[in-house]
Amino acid sequence: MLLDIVGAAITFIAVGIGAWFLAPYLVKVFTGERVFLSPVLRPVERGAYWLMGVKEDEEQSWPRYAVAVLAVTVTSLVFTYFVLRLQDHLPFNPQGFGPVAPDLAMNTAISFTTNTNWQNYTGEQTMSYFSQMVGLVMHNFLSAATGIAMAVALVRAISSRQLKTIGNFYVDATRATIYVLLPISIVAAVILLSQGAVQTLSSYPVAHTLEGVQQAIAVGPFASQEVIKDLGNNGGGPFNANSAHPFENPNGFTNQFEIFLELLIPFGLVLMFGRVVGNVKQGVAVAATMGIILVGATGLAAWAEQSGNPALTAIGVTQTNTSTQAGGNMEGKEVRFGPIYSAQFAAATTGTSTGAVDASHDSLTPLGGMVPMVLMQLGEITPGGVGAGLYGMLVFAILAVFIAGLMVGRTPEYLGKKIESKEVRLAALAILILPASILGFTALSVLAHAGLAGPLNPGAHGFSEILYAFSSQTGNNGSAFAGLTGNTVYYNSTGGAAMWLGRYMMVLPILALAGALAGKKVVPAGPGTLSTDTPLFVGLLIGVIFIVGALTFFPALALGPILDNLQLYAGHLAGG
Amino acid sequence: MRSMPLDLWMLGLLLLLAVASYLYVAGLEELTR
Repeated sequence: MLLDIVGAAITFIAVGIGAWFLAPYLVKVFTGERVFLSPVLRPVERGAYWLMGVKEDEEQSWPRYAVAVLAVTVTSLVFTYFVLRLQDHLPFNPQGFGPVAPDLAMNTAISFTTNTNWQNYTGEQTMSYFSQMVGLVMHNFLSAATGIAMAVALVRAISSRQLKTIGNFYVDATRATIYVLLPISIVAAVILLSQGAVQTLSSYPVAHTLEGVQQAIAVGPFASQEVIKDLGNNGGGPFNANSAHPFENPNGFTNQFEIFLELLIPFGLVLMFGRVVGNVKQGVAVAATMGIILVGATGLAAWAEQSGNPALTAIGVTQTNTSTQAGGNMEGKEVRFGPIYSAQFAAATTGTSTGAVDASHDSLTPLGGMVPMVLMQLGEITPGGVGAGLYGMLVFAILAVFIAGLMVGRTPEYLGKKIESKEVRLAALAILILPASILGFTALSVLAHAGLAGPLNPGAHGFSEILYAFSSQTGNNGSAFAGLTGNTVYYNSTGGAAMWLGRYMMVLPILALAGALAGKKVVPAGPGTLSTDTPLFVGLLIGVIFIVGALTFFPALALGPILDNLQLYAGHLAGG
Repeated sequence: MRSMPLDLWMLGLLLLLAVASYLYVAGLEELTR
């Protein structure tokens, strides 16, 4: 167990070091400076602009930037919808899979476009290689690049440059793809391949088992897909078992490596933010806020899972950690990962917007399962999705300086920019969309017959399954509790709407906020200015996140995982 | 494409979400003016 804790700590430290060195590279990429990959990639970048008809130095106002985001989203979404609907007429379909049903195709297309990767299907039994590689993986890059671009736009607006514009979406997204996502993906795919992740275009090999039956072994071009799944915080794996499958995540090292990939760019972007605004400590303060919550959440989940299941303890099952067993709650977990690495993966995948899983979240203890649920409900800001985490956290930072300003009766300011009623209204809009969608769709689902048909368990645990589904989809996470029959017209449609609302109804006010802040005069700091790079501000920010973010969901959590936990310790099993 | 009516429903849902988002941008533009 001690070794597992050390391994988890080393992974977090590696993320910190990796992000520290990635940050200056990101600054250069998004300010258009030359980087060491420029001799190879700059011609590719120029070619991409020529193909798209984009003028590299043309700046966009925030509405133009937003419309560009929406235009790319809708076009690529419709493309994926028809790829899935027509996959039986398209190449690379050696298994002869039929067309994906319309409601499932729309849910999946919205899911991958919004960086959610919620999957109401079993990949190896539904999607052709063409659908996987072209229809879905394209979005793994594009949706991640879109998130990074929007965060970069907000950072530009907060920085001291005196322009009313916020950059060019096409340029930002192209640079994010070519200079950041692609090179890291290639290197990381080779590392995963070396560890045994599968990569082939052959049809499924057939094994003849000892019982004399034939078994098709699902394979595919998956090592490359696995990397961008984690690096781009997408989370949609080719296998239904996701990162619990040995062909996606072969061993303990790859498990920690995947956690590293999930966290690398989100933390790198935060440290980039500090450098762009000219004060590295500003980035460190935001990263520290994210890190403290993430490490705390990992610790709570690990403790809950290592403590085991009290119902099993009551009947005399030993769940203690010994030299021959990991101990703890091992239901739904891989023996090669154990409770602590699985808990760390669960926290990392929901602290970011990844949503990959290496264990069944439905089988986590109620408190262990509440951790990923809360991390998603906070808006995935610890450290959040690629780009999405940074802009989500900056909105909380603006709210924190506003609240601090109210306390002392001063006009609040963030990095020298006055935060006025317009900015606070936009920040509030961005924050309120999450509870509105999560709680609204959960309430609708526990009232509608079609909604109640989904959960596989009754009572508090069944409620948790619905609450988790809409938290995950609205938060663009995509991890599933796995106890919900989601492939129905009702859940495909409401889930699709939730994913769209969670992405665009949140990000559009943030782009408007960027537009409002862009070009604002920077006021020099005075004696009454609240420093936003100190431990005091980190504490304030954590307080605001929990008061605003978490308390909104407390009543719902009380009906779900908290009640589930109390019942479990009282010996009343859900559905038992 | 045997499930045409459901295809239309789904594309209609997408159209609704896209138009709502576009109108949202227009509304926010008013707010920030």
